[in-house]
Amino acid sequence: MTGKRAQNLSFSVFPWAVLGILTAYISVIILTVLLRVQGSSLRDTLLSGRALSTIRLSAVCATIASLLALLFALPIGYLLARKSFPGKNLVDTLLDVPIVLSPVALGTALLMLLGSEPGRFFEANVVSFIFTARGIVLAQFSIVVALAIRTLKAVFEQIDPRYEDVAYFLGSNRWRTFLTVTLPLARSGILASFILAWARAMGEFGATITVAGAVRGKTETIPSAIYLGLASVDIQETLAYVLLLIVVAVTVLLAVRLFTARAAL
Amino acid sequence: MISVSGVRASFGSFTLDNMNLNVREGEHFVLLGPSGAGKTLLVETVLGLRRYSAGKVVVAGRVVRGEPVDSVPISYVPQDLALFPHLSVRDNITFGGRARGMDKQRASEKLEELSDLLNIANILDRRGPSTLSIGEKQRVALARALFIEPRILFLDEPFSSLDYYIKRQLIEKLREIKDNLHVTVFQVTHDHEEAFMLADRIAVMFDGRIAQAGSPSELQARPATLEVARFLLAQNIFEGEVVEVDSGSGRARTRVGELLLSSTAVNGLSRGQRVSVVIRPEEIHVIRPDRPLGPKVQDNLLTAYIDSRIPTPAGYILVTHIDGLGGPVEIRLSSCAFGDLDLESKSTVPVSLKAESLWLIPR
Repeated sequence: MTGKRAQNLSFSVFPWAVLGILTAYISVIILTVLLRVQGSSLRDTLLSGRALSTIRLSAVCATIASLLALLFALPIGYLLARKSFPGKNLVDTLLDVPIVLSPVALGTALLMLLGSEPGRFFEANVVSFIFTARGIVLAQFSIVVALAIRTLKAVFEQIDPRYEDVAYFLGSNRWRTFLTVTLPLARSGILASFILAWARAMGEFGATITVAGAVRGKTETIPSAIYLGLASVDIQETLAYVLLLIVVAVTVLLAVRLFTARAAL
Repeated sequence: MISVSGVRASFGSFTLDNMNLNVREGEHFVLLGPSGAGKTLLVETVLGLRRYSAGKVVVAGRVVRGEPVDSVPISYVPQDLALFPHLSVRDNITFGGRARGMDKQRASEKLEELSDLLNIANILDRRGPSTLSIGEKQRVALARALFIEPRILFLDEPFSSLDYYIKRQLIEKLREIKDNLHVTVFQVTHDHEEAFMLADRIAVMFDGRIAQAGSPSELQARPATLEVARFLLAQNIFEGEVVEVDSGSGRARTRVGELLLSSTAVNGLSRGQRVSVVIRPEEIHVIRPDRPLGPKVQDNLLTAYIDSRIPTPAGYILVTHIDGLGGPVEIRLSSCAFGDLDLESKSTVPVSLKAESLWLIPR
């Protein structure tokens, strides 16, 4: 075998080898959970009143936080995709901060804000967040809104502005054009963005526990239940919640892949 | 209807410089130029989709300032057509009617009229444009644009990706539409044939500037610059020097190679001036030995040596050379004339470079 052929072969084999190692690593992690969890314990944990309440609270808060995030992300994502304005890079960078900042750091900053003089006034007279389910929504929203903006900006960038120009000349005003042309074309991307935000909110822990705590039956989400389970060395209960989050993650990823594949058609 | 005066606009490193255009109401105006000349940028500037830094664009009496004019119905068919992929063919066409609150009876009549005109009745019920052929898509895009009864129709390379046969059909259709609907058309193309078949006036554009604007016959017979001549003709351009100008008789004599050629064009030329001498291949008259010379073909009588014969859809091109002239000379003949003359390769043929068809461009 010549040196060139050997190099070409190694070039072909190398990425496959790395891919094999990483997929094996992730599979082993999931498999470990599957092998360690006991069927009876899984059933008992997930069907208990406490678990159902935790799952419900997690799902409801994640849904509200994701919908709120979408409400903000739709106009902002559209604006960032379509318009240039002074300071756009600065704004864009600022909006990305929650993505790169540690969630517990963001939660701490939120706690400081709510503990400040105006924050305390807001907490006392308008709406309270600290150690409440509303705090979970606020924490999750703060984390996922940047993710939703990022994905929706990419979605709008993929839609050719020519569609909007043509619609405008045909007599459609900007609102009507957005509602009847841009939004329908972005539908799959918006759904994918919502699902990603929802999944991220479901798994959010650092900011949530900092702002809302992990009070059983009140502010306990699935990740905080895992944390509490580990703290009390209840491995089977912990594994049940971990498995639940794995199922949610895989389902979400499959759904997103389905929607983005449709959008590409 | 459209006026562009002294417009300057920059898009990255590309600049539209000192653009001046006037499009009259009811005119079919074609912006012709090679790819990368800035034609689409100019159209988008006129449409208000791009901002300009100097000059003035006026469309239907309104100054355009980076926002589309909507005081009169204007339709725009971009190069990629931008048919809405989420709407059926019918909904695509009637989109403008719904946006403008057209009543259902009127919309239905209009749809029927355009379906008949553009032969698209059989595809109206398709669920989306993705299943249409490119020719069908072009016709649907035209129908959608015409549905709102525009006063001005902007077409950006509307036939660029079509087969020749379908393109010819659509060109005929567009001529019919323009005559019937009395719409002003502003069209962009890089295709000479398309431009000359459709335009009332043509502006030739290179590198962000207009090189010449005029009627198709003016441009063909009297290219203002060597650049325009090369773009429109590509052949039969020779270098020469003016040796005699007689303004009284309106004739000039020019030395080209070893020959002296007469022309009726004096257009401000002076003796000793270096020029490019241009003649269209179809304006070179092949002399039949059995017929007397007409008054227009008595100058510049020469002998052409036929090097090769190239068949074309419309007839034949004779690639020849003429002693003393330098460079190949192309002669275009109809199939009928070619058949009558019975010309063989490597034979000779007497020709006249008609004086009135010889055009001199100062260098």
